[in-house]
Amino acid sequence: MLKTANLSYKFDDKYIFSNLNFEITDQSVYKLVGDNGSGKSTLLKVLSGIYKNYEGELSFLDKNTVFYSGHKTGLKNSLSARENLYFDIRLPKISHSQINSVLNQLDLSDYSDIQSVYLSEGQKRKINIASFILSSASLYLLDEPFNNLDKKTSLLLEEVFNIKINKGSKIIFSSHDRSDDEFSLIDMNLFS
Amino acid sequence: MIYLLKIFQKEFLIYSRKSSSFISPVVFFLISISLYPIGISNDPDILKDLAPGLIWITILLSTLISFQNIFSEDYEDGSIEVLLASGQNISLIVLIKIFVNWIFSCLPIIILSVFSIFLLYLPQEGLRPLIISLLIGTPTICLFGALAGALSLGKNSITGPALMLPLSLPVLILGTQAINYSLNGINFFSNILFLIAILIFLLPIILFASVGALKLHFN
Repeated sequence: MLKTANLSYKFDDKYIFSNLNFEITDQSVYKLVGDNGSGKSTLLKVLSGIYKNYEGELSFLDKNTVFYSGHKTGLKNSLSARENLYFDIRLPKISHSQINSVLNQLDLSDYSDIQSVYLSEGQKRKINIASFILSSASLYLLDEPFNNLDKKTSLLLEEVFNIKINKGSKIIFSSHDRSDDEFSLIDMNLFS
Repeated sequence: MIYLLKIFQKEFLIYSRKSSSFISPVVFFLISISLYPIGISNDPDILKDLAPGLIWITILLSTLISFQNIFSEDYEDGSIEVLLASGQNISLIVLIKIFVNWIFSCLPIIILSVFSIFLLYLPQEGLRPLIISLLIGTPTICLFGALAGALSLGKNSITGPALMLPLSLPVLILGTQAINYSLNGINFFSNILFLIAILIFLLPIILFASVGALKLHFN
């Protein structure tokens, strides 16, 4: 479904990562770990198609159903949580009832009509999680999705990971947390 | 098609809530055309001759204020990254953004330019070519603004205008000339046809170039 062969990316003649080889065919969650500057975010941007001038090979089965969520939230400050979700380009067929349901699930109902500029970083991150929950992509690329989340939302996110992979999706996310868990690890330190 | 409609709704909502996006150009325009009679001359004959050029130059400078905003917020909040990763037709989305920017930054000024009859003593026969030339010329200026905005993302605020103003000169000349022709009893429609031709010719080229410029920032 997703395969890289000798994938490298350089910036100003310095390789961020080089000769990265991996293949994702099974329904699984892959965790990108590595030190700061090891290229986790860069790899996610290469895989999502944002960065195109990479070296090596990168092949997808279905490039059109990739969901990318980066460091920046992509939220519009002048729009409310509900409006940001309704107008999210990654959710073209979303209904208001689906939005209400997920906002309720994430305890955002009371803040759903407040402009995003007045929300905390954690609440903004939760809106991104809501987009992730509502999306039906085949590959998810998430850059440090657990940042700024409370324990309850982190557990919910892990639950959603399981729901997504049971539906046949693949997930690649980056994290600084190297702790032992059920996720398959891709250590970026080995390629930087 | 539905997602394009949603993008139009979204952009419209964002601009309508960001009052500075349409109030600043309007205030700049009104203040400028109010000051010309004080700063240049209050002689109607002098102002009448200068009015076409003054109006077009003022509109060009007024709209400069808003062009920096077409992509800068999307760049800062990460929306462009999401857009590039989405696999959607970026050219159409950029076109919608430019159109909404035109609605909020140019359309109010075009409507207010009617006041130049009173403030700059523009003869009434100059009003029709003024409005027509502005309706056709300002979308081209918006296209140049979008290209300049895309190229100057993350750079200082003078880069955009420095790129855009030279490109806008043909539109400025044709627009001003159309009004002058009309005031001198000459048929001005050849100028309007030129403006239409420029718009049609440049639309796909500048859209393509703007999308390329946006992508350039990520490579």
